[in-house]
Amino acid sequence: MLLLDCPWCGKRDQTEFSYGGEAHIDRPIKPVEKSDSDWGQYVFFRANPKGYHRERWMHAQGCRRWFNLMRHTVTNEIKGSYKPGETFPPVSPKENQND
Amino acid sequence: MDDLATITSTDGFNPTVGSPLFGKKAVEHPVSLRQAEFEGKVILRGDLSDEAFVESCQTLLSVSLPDRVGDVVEGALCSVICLGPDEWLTVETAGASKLLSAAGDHPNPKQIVVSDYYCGLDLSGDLATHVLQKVVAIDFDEANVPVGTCVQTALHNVPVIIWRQADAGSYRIYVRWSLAEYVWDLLADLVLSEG
Amino acid sequence: MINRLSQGGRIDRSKPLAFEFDGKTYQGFQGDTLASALLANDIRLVARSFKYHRPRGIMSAGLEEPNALVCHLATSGDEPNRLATELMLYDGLKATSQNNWPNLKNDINAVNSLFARFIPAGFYYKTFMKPHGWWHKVYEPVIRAASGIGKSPERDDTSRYEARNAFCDVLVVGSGVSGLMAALTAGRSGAKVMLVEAAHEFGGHLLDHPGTPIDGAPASTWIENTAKELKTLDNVTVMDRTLAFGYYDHNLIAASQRIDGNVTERLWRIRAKQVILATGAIERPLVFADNDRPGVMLAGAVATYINRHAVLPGKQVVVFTNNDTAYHTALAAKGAGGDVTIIDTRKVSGSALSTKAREAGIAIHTNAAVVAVKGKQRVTAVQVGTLSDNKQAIASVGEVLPCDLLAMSGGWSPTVQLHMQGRGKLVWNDELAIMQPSEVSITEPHVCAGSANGAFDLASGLQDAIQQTEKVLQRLGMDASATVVPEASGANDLATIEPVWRVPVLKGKRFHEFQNDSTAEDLSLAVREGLISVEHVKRYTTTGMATDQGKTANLNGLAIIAEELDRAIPEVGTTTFRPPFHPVTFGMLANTRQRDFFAPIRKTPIHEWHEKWGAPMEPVGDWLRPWWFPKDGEDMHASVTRECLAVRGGVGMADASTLGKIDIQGKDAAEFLNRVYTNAWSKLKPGHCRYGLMLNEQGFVFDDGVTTCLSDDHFHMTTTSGGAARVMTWLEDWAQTEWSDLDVSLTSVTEQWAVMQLSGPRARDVLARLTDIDLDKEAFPFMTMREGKIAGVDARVFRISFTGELSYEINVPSRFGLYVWEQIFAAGEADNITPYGNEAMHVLRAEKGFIIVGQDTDGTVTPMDLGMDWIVSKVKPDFLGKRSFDRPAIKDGKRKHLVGLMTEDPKVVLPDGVHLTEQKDVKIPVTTDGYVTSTYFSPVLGHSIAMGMVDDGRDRMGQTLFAQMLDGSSIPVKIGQSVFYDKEGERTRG
Repeated sequence: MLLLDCPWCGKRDQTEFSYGGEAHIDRPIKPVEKSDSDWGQYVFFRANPKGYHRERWMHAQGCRRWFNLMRHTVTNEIKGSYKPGETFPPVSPKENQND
Repeated sequence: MDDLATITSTDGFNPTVGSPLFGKKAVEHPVSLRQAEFEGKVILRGDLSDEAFVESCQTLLSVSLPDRVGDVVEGALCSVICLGPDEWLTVETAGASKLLSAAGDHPNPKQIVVSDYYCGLDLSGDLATHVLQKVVAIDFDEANVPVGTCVQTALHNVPVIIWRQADAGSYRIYVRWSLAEYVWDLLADLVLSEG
Repeated sequence: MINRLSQGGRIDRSKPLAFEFDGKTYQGFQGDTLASALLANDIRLVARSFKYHRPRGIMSAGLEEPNALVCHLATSGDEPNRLATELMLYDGLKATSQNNWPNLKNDINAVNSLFARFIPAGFYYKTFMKPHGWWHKVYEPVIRAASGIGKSPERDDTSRYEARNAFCDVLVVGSGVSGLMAALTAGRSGAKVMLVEAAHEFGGHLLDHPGTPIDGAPASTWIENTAKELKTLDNVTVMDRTLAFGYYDHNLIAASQRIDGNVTERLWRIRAKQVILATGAIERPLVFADNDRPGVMLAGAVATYINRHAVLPGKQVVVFTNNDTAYHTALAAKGAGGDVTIIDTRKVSGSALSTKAREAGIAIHTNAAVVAVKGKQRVTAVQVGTLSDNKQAIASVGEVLPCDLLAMSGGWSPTVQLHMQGRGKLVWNDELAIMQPSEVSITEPHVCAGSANGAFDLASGLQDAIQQTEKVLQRLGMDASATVVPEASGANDLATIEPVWRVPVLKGKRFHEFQNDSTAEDLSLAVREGLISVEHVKRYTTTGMATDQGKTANLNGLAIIAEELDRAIPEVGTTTFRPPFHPVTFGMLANTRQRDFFAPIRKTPIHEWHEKWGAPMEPVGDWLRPWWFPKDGEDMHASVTRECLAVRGGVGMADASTLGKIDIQGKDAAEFLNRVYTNAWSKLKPGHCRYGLMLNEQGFVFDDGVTTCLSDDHFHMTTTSGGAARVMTWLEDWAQTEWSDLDVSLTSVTEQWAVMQLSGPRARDVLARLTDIDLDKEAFPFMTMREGKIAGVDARVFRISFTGELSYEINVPSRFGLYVWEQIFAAGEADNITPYGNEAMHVLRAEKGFIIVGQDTDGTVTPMDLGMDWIVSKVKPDFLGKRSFDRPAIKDGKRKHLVGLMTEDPKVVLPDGVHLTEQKDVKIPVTTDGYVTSTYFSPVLGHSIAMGMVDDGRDRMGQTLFAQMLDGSSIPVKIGQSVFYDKEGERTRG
C-alpha cells in the first residue's frame, strides 16, 4: 500500500488515488496529420520500464487533482510528486539502470 | 372529472423538506452522532491568479479565499473551505443559499449550488477521533489536522469532507446525499460498539 | 495433572479452569495455553500428520508449532487450525483434534504410512493420470476428501471485527528483552512509540530465564518495571496479543489484535516512520530418524513449559543438541526433578554451562547422536550412537536409554520474515549458523535488534537494542535520551554451535518439514530428479508451504539442499518471504467490510417511496434502483407489462435521480464539449438540449447523454448512471492536464438534483396541474429546457425522452424530491399515473431502438457500427476518437452493426447474449456472426423484440440467422430495423 504525496493534500494512502499510466504523453496537435503507426503509438504504446517511471495519479477521493510522480517500478521508491506543467529533475542514466 | 387546481407558490410556502437521514435517532453515548441542520452551500470555481475572480469573491463573501487545500476562512455570511487550487465550498449558517441572490450587480464568479449535494453529520466526544480512526486512514494528530481545517478523504471507501471543529474532538462530516444513510449507519454501529 | 510442578511458573494456581479435548474433560490453570494444560495432563498424542497420518504431539511452545493444530469450538464459531500452543486456556474451552477418523488413537488413514514408499514428495506429478476420466470420477473426490488438515466451519461466525488506522514515529515489534529496551529508549526520548507483542504477556524468551540478573534483580522484575514505565508514558502505546503479520510498502505494518470484549479481533494498519524488528529467534529441530514422535520437543520449548507453566512433560529426559543453548533446558529439567542425560554431537562440551551441568549430576555423552527413537504414540526410549568424524555416518551403535521426553536443539534462526517482507537482505553468519539481517531498503526504513539481529547473549542484546534505537531516532531527527545500558552478563551460548544438518540414519524417516510430512529423504530425491533451484526444491518437497510456513523447517531444508548440491548455504539462497507471517483470519482482514457495510449503498431522495410500495430493488453499481412496481401480488412479467402499457397509453413516472450530472462553466465550455463529443455544440442555444456520444481515443463509444445549454458559458451535462464517475474523471483529466489553457470548470451535481421522468400521452395534462410553465407544444418543444415552479418548488424541466413518449424530466433540489414526486403522483391519480421501474424503462427504450452504453456496446463499438453516422460531425476537424476512425481495422475491416432481430415465432423471446450463425446446424467450435445485446417481450407490440451486433448487419436486412441455444437447439431470427415502435418519432415530439 503505497504512500503517495499529493501536491495539494500531502501524504495519503494509495487507495485514495486512481492511476493514470505513463506521464508526459502529449496529445498530437493535429491528429489528422499523423500516420496510422504514429497515432497507434500515441494511443497504445507505453514505455513500461523496469526502473524509474514518470506516471500520473489522480486524487480521486480527495481534491480530485491530477498530478505526476516518479516511481521506481521495482522498489516503489517515490522520488517525488509534481504538478502538471512543472518539471522534475531528470534521472541520471546510472540511476535508471535495470537492477 | 374536475381538473385539480394548479398548485403555485405562495408566501409561507413550506413543503416537506426531505433528508437522507430522516428518522435517524441521534446517538449520545459514548460519542455523539447528530444530523447537521440544512445549510446553503455553493461551490465557487476560479483561479487565484485571476484578479477579477479574487475581487468578485471578496465582494460576494466579505472575506478572502483561503489558498491552501483544507484551510477554512470564517466570514460573517459563511465559512469558505478550500477544496482544490480552483475550487471552494461556501457553507452558510442559516437557511437556503442566499449567496446567489446576494450577488446582485457584482460580477459573479462561477457558482454552483450544492446545498443538497452534501449532507452534514456531527460526530463529537472524547472517543470521536478514536471512532474515526477505525474507518479513516488519516493521522488526526492536531499537528497534522489542526482545528478549524478540513480533510477530503475516504471514510470506509466513501469520499467525505471532514471538518475539525474548534473543539478538537468534534467533527462535521460532509457526505453526498445518496451515501449519507450508509455512513450514518456505519458510524452509529461503530460508536455503539464502543459502549 | 501428573506433569504439573508444585511450585513455580507464571500460572495462577488459585484459578483452576476446566477444558475439554476430544470430548474428555481436564483441568488446567489461568495462564496455561491449551498445549501446556494438555502436557500437564500427560496428553501426548494431539494430532495426525498431513500425509502419512503419523501420530504427533506438541513440539514447541509458540507460533512456530507445526503439529498441534486443533479445532477451537468457540461460542462465536468454530476455528479450525488453531495452534494449541497459542490458544490461551479459559474456563469451558472446547477443542478437538483434526485429520483423524474415527479417533486420534485409531486413525484409519494411518494405513497411508504403509504405502509411504509410493507417496514420497512429488508423487502426484507422476500419478493419477490414467485411466482417462478417472480423475473426475475417482481420484479427485477421494483426494479432496482426504486433503487438508482442518475442517471448514459450518456455523456462522458471530464475532465482531474492526480495524484501526494508527500512525507513529517508531513501531517496535516484539517485547522480548531487546524490544522492551528499544521501546523504553525511544519512549524516553519523546518519540511517538507503539509496541506490539503477539503473546499475552511481555518478556519473550527472557521469561524462560526468570532468574537471570539484569541490573542486579531477576529478569522478571526488570520486565515488570519496564512494562510499567512504558504504560505510564503518554507517548507510548503498548499492545499485547497483537501480532504484526505483514510489512508493506512505505512502512505500512499490518497487525492482528485479539481482544476480549465487544470486538473479537482488530486489524491494525500502522504507518510507522521507522520500525524496530525485535522479533527474536526460533529454534531449529534436529533432523534424525523418527524425530516426529510425540514427546520429541524443541529444547527451548521444554524450558518454556517448565518456567512459565510449571509443567515438566516427562520424567526421563534426554537432551539432544549440537549447541550450548539446550543445556539451560537440561538444568531446568533437572531442577524440576527429572532424570536428565545430554547427547551432544560435538566432540567437546567444555563451556561454563556444561561444567554446571556436570556438577548438577547430568550425564553428558559427546560425539554422540540419537540414532533411533522407540515408541509410536509416545517416545519410550532412544538409541544412542557415535558419529564418524565428518558426521556423515554412524560409527557405532550404543545403549538404549529409557526416555519419555526428548528435547532437541539444532540451533536458532533469527525471525527475519518481516525484515524480508520489508525488502531487507540476509547474510550468512557461519559462526552462529544463522541467516541474519544485513541491508535495509530506503523505501521500508527499519532496523533489527537483539537475537533477530544475531545478538544472542543478554548484554549484547540490550546494547544492540539501544544502538539500533539511537540510529532510528537520529533518522527522525530526534535526540536519543541518555539511556544507561542495564547491567547484564552471560555468554553467547550459540557461539560454539557445530551444525549437523542431517543425523545419519539406520532406518526410518528424518523429518525437516513436520506439517507437510516432508523428509530429508525427499530433499535428496528432489535433487536426484534434477531440481537444483531452491524455489523448485521447495515446491517439489512442499518445504515451508504449510500453515506454519516452514518456521522450523526452512533453514534445515536449505542446508540439506546445499549439502546435496555440494554448495555453500549462501549460494543456494532463500525463497521469497510473503505476508502473512502467521495465519490470520478472513474476518479480521474483512473487518467492517461485511454484511450490511460490505459495500457502500446509494439511495435516491425518493427511495423510501419505492420501499413503501414494495418495489424490488435492483443493484446498479452502488445504487439501489426500483426494478418494477408490483400491484396485488403481480410477478415481474405482469408488472412490467402493465407499467409499459401505462406509459404508452396514459402516464407513468420513473425515478431517474441516479443519472450523472455535471455542471460545466466557462468561456470555453462549448469548445470543450466540441472536443469531447462527436457532434457540434457551438451553436446550441440557451434552453436547448442535445444528445451526445462520447468516445475514447480508440474511437469507441464509452458513454452517452443529453447536454443542455443554460447560457453561452454554462452547460448541464448528463451521463449514464454507471458511467458518471468514469466520465467525470475523463473530463477532468483533459481539462486539468492536456487543455489547461481552456477556461472551463467541471463540477459534479449528480446528488444536488432529484430527477423524475414523467412520461406518456397524458404527461402534459398531469404536469399542467402543478406548474405555471407554458407546456404548449410550440412554447416548450422537444429537446428544450424550461425553468419554473413545479408544485411550488423551483425546478428545471427537460423535454427529453428515453421512452419514446411525450416526456418531461423534472429536476428539483434533492430535499424536495420526495415532496414533488408525491405531488405529481397525487395530481396524476385521476389519470391512473403508474410508477415504472428499471425493467420497464429498458423495454420501452428498446422498442425505440435506443442503445444502452455498456449493454448494446462493449467498448469496441464505433458510432458507425451503431448506425449513428448522423451524430458524427463531418465539419469538426478533430474530436476525441476521431482520428481512430481511419484506422484500417475500423475503416476497411469487417465491422459488426447494430440491428433489430425478430424471432420467427413472435412469442419466443431470445435469451440475453445468445450467438447467431448463418447455418442452422453447426459443430462447435464455430465462428459466429454476432450476438444479442438487448431482448424483451414488447407489451405494446405484442411480440418479442431484440437488438444485436451482427457482422455487416445493415447489408443483410431480411436475412435469416439462427440463434444457437446451449442445449443444441436453434431459433430462427430475421435481421431488420432496430426501431420497432413509432418509427417516425412523432409521439416523442408531441
